[in-house]
Amino acid sequence: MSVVINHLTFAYTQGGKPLEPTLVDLDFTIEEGSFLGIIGHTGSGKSTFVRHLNGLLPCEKGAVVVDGHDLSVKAERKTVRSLVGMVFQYPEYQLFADTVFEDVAFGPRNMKLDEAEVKNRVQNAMTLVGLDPERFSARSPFDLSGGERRRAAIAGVLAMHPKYLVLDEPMAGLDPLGRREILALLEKLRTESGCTIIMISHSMDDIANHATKVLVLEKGRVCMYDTPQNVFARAEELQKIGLSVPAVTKLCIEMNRRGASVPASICTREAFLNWIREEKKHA
Amino acid sequence: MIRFDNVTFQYEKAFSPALSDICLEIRQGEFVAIVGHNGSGKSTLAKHINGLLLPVKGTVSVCGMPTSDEENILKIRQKVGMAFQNPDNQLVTTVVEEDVAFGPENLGVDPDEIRARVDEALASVGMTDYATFAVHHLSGGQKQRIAIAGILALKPQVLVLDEASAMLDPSGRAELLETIEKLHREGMTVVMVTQYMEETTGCDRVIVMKGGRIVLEGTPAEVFRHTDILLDSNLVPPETVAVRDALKEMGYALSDDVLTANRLAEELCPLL
Repeated sequence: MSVVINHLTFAYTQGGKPLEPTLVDLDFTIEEGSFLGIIGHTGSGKSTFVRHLNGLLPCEKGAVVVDGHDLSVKAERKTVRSLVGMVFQYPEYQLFADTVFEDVAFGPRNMKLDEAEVKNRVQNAMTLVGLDPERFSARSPFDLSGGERRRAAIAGVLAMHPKYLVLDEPMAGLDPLGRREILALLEKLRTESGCTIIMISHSMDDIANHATKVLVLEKGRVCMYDTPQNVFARAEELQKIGLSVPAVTKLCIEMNRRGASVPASICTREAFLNWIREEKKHA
Repeated sequence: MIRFDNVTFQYEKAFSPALSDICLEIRQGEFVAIVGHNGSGKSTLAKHINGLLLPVKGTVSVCGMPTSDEENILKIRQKVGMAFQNPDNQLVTTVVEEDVAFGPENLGVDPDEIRARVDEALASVGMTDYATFAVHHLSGGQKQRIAIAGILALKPQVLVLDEASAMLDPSGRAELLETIEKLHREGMTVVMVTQYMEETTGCDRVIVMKGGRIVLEGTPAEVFRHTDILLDSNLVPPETVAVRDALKEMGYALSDDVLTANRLAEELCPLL
């Protein structure tokens, strides 16, 4: 099973007339169980693209097919929305209920699950994001810290048991520890429940360390779609379109400028230290 | 230039103080970064510098003037300019140069003088070519630079940035940081509150806050020697420093002032 993006083109309209297309002929497949990192300059179409994954924006040209369900078929949209969970930027702004429990329960209740199952799902989702149900269920979401609020918002999406979880800059505005907690959660979801993660991020270090595939968008087109190693090996091209590279990639470029021969595919601390160990052995 | 003497602050209805007994002195021309976890009090501290918040206990003074004395506030705000997180909340007009002129116009500055100040401020932030552009056509990084130009047109002596780069993409952040570093080189006193540890490596001093207190303070090289305190404060050292520390553990002799890729490569290459 997978998400198939088939020649997707999309243009916003103004006064009934289409503007320059925001997405142009996107054509690739997101494999189930992968961790897809999406990078691109502001305005490259990242957010517009992910809004197509659960039919928030219509597929006018081309198609998005999730586990065999074509989003351009109206009757299929509901099924797809139960498969694809969406976490927007600053999702905590969407918290609304009096208690954390009620907020997280909103999605499952809409799915018309019985109350025992709702309770079960809410408690599991809260535990998963690190909010102890006993301590947090009755609290107002507005009394939580920034990081806790973010996790409560994500719990609300997880309680619907999505198979594909889409996140638009989920770490924006969080402190380093808050960022780590979210990343650890995403890794856990992927490895333990096989959830596919699709994440927009500006942090190249996070993408290098966690993504199994990277999509680089540039002016609405696919510029690269490859492993992080292969994408960040093309550092010069990335910098040309205004993107940065992981800290380790920067280090390797500086070293190679000084005559070293670090392989261009090295983009994480772990890979770099392994390379150093190998070099030491052969020295 | 700026002094905090035993400053304690508590928000109304809060259970615990946001700042506890802060003592701090910032010298003229210094570039100070303030880092800390969400809710550590770093923004609260910044808002005390120009009297947006007033201490519950202790005093904050700017050039010898306490912020608690209402008569000083206007003078202090002319000396201390402040930029905030959201670029869209800080621009008031639709055209770039009008926005930069807004502050001095309100102060009743002479029109010729306003023209000169606007041109100079736009040049300082590298936005001269955009003087007549519509504000809403600019990128986030450009908007923040215009917001700073608007502050510069008021001729402040201190620039306080409260997570001004938080909502920008990496290229916007880089251009903003470059602008700030340039202003500092030209003599501006800068206080920068940030969430991004790697932005602090070029500062004179880094102040680490946790739970309303200063837990660590020093040059970037000194501060990033204490990974344990940083982790305990819910912070993480910049990735380049983490790589450096791992290499040191493997036996490579690297100095503490290695904080950037460039410097690390310079010291590491001869050792391989």
